[in-house]
Amino acid sequence: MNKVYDKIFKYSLQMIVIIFCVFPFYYSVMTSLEGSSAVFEPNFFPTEINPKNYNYLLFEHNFPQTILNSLFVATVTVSISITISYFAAWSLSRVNFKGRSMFLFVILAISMFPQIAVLTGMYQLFLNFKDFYFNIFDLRVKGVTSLLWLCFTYTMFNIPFTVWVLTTFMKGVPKEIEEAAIVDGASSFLILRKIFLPIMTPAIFTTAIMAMIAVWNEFLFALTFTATNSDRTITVGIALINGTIEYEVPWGSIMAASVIVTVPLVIITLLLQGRIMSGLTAGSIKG
Amino acid sequence: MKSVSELRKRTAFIFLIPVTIVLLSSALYPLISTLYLSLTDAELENFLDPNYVGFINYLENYEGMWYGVLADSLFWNSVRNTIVFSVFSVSLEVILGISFALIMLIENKLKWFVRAAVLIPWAIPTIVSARMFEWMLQDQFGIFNYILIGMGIIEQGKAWTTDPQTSMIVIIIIDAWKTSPFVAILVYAGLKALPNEVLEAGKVDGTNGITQFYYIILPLILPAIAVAIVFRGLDALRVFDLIYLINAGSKDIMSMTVYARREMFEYSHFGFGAAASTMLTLIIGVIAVIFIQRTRLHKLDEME
Repeated sequence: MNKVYDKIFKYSLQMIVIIFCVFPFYYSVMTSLEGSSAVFEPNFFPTEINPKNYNYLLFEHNFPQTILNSLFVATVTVSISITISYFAAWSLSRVNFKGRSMFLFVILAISMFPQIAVLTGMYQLFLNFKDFYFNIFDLRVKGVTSLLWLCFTYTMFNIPFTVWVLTTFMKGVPKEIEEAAIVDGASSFLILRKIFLPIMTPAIFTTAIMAMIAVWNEFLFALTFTATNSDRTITVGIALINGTIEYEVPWGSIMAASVIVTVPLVIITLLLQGRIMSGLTAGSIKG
Repeated sequence: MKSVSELRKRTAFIFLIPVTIVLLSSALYPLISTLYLSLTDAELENFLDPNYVGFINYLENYEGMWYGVLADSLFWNSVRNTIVFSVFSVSLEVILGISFALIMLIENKLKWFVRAAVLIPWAIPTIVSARMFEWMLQDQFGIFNYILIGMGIIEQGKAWTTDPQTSMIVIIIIDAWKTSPFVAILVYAGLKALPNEVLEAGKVDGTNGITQFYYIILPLILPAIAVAIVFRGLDALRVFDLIYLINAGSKDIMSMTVYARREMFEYSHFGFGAAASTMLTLIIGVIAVIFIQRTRLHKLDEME
């Protein structure tokens, strides 16, 4: 008998955790699928399925533009920061030199920096960048200025994280694998390309996904450096979805937008569950 | 001829150049220029060419009255709010995180679902979690009030997010929902790294499970918990999104980052805002140094 109770007890504990974590997400999916009248009747299961909110966002709103903007910024940022960090990670994990742990410590310290500490300086740089950019390029493409600037600032803020995680992953590669190549006289560049890249691909991929999620979710810089409808990213986009009448918040549309930007993340996270867990711990436990 | 290790060292330095450039331009330059701007009268009109004014943005005595960030009661209010938020949210996250981690250890058919569910709040953008909770807690149509009314606990829906008395609690709960999974994963990894015998020892004597956990397992996973506290604590001290999104207009629950950003981008007081950011950095820096010293995070190589 005791064993049965024990089983039930364990299952209920697990159910509590699952419901706690999933319910808000479930509830927003449900709200997003309801028409305007059903939204305003609290219930646990959808009473109707109505694509109205999605139609509005995708065809009558500039929301698709904000998704494209976020995708653009995330892709550029992640590609650049991963490339730079990959080489740095090799130096910091496979080569012994004086000041190595100091370097790592500085990187860790920077990754914990409050972003607001550099915001004023960044904003001044941004205005200078804008001037410079307008003088060189045709004004027609000026809508891209903010997005390019976001790529630049996000790259900077991502690099401490990507360097850190990749360094930890690379430390885990056995020495012998590299030593054989060193004896053969292979250059470091060749070793990184031919030996480490195949081994590190899953780790690089995981790090890239995590960096991408960080960019996708960033709000403070996106709010500060984007000013027009055409250059907003998704976080600012959702924050600015408002009703036509004051005090009437379009909850259906807000929930639909939330679901659109969250579902891909949730799917990726579920598919890569184990990898992301090891990535998160690599980013913290060992340093 | 140079030795192989010399050559490797040289290559290593070359590979570190891009990172160094990025870090210098991203951290050092804007940090120094923010510091300088905090000593100027920068406003919107003269932002690119401000005048040096000394420390008056920090503190100034003018005709017997004190001015500046340090004399602004709103600033100290925001410091207090930030500390209250950080202490309560991180404590809650550590308690929930440890509980989740222990539940994640249970081996049965639901195991995969628990581990998957725990990652969902982590992946969801803060803006989305803020809006989801605002909607669930909404006064007229929110599911939370609906349940409470149904259970007979309250008679009328309450505006949890806009009421200054409850909005800080709501913000702490949303933050705990979003980030407890992160703590849980760190603690879970710490638990997994323990020798099996230790975990088994806790299971033998079922009645004393909690005591066993407290005296045997907890001391062993303390390093993992310490790391989680440092990461989460430093993150909580710079909180912006949640507080800005849930109750942007309220002075009562403003955090330090919200205060500094408001001075800059709503009032265009760039010099004053820079001074506030510098104070914020100093406060966080002091707390970080104490934390890192205590948890010995700086001895990285010894931790391997």
